[in-house]
Amino acid sequence: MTDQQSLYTAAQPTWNGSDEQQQLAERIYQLMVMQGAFFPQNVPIRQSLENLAAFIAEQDKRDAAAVRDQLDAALQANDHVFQRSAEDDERVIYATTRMGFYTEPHIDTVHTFKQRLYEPENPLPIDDLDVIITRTRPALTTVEPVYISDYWQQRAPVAPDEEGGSVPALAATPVEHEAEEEVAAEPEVAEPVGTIQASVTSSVTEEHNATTITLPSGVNVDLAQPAETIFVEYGTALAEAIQQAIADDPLRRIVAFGDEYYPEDAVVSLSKGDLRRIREYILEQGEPMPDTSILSDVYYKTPRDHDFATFRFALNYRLNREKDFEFVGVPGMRLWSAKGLPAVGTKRLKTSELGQFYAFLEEDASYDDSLSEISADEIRSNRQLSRFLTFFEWEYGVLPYDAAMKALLPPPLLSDQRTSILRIEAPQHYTVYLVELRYPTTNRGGWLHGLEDFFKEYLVPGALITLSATDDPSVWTIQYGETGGEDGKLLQQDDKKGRYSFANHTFYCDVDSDLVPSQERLPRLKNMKVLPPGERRRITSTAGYVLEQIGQSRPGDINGFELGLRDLFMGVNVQRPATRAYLQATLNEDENFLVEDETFIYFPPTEELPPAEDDDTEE
Amino acid sequence: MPIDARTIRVGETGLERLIQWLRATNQPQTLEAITAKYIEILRSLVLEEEER
Repeated sequence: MTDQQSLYTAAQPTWNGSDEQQQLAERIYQLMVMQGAFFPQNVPIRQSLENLAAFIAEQDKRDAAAVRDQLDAALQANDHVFQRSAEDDERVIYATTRMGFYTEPHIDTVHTFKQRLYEPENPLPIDDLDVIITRTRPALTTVEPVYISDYWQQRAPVAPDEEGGSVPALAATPVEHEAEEEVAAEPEVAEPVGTIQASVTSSVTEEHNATTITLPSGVNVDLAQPAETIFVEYGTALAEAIQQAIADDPLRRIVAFGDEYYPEDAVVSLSKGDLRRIREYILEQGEPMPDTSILSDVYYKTPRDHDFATFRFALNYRLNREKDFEFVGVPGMRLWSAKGLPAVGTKRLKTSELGQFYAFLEEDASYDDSLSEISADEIRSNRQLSRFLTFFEWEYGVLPYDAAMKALLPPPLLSDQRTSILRIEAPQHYTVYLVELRYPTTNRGGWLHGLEDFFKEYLVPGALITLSATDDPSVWTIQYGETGGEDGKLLQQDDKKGRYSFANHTFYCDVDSDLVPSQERLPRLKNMKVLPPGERRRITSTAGYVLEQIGQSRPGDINGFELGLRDLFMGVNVQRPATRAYLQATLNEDENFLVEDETFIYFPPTEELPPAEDDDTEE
Repeated sequence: MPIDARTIRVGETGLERLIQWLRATNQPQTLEAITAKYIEILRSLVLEEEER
């Protein structure tokens, strides 16, 4: 017999019982094996006693009922071959296999992979349920809320109180153990955990019930209260939590532009052709353009169109993600600049240098004395601000973005926005200037520039200017008090020679004569060098140089120079911007300076800057 | 079926409903409007049974 034949051949068991029973059992066995000829060897071949009895009765021409009992006895006598199972007396099933015996397979469920996976013997501490419940969701709608099995709930860091106390909320974010205890004790003063994963914190309070949620800030909100009450009391905290959740959503299902939100899948896309057309349009206009103009001129869309609002959002959102476009608008006026537009503002100083000059405004709030004479609230309510120009501001057409300016000018609309472009109109001369407002960063100050032409044309250092808001948030006006005309020899900067000199000027604007750098006022400013930006950046070296140049020599053993605060302020502000408060604070701490009341004395160190070269040229 | 407020994850639970509402409004919404709507959604999830 070949192996192949053996595959189709049944085993030959030994039979028990009387001869008749043995014969009957063998017949049944052959019959069942024939029925399951193509079954695998160990798969049971089942047949009911009724069917078997009917078959034998028909074969032997006998009574089926009599055969049934006889057959049952014969098969039971050979229970090593046939397995009997009976639901009741009427329904008896016999099973065997081609191997000649059948035993019910036993499935071992004592130790399963599933059980090990979901119910480990020694589970790791659950600091963060996010490691168990994935935050990455499929794009399709999911059933809410996310189901968390009792197993993990019971093993959350704060176990249910055995004495029948409150049930803990779910821990979702790694929180220091000490912090958890504090939160549990005083939820009102709990430290914000910072991220939305902590939206449901581990705080346990007695107030907790089935309708109370805990915000990331640790505040409990009972949703059983009216919606209006919740909004009034917890609206800010909830808004922050939602904003954070939207920003953290890995699927970015809701996207934002400024203070507006919309589902990402409903935001239309812009093709490369669209982007090219928009860029060409902006370049053709020669200046940043509002989104509404782009919509009307490029897409022929008007506010009457049903999709105007959504398309406008899409335009802003998509352009903001393109490197060839930069948002330069303000709240209420969304302006877009494109790569290739001419730069706004002075080119005589790099933006990095200007940022460093004004860095002191962000270093310490006490250095900024722009609100010493007027409060921010007054500026906001008046919607205008007046100030005197320093020589530096006049020379480069810049203005500091100090606390007073921050109170007046619009804040950035986007969190990562670097600049805004403002239109400043001079109604006295019917001229308009594009001005770039550079917002401060962590280590650089902010400023406005682009008014060089206006300042040089109509004003002098020391002039009083007034900036006023208009109905358009991106348009401002600049004005000054006109006078009959005044002559004077005023300081000017000679970039070719790198020095300052005096020249005749006739000006027609209101000035503070104390701030006008005239020859009468400070004749020693003449021939002072224009310090390189690297030296100007350091306030002490600039002030020291200015003191050496225009200060009075101080008699005594040590060579020193002294100057009053007013003159020092003017002299330093020829070279770089500085407030009086900044000068006083920094020079007071420097070992080379001595400050007596409002008089500054400078003792140059021996290795300090050499004295300025003598210049024989006379004006 | 109302849910237990303790299982609510602010910013995740009910977000799909919020998105559906946002889409249905057919125009971008401010954070303030979204917050007001989200409060309504959370309340409806938690108080469904009681209100009924």
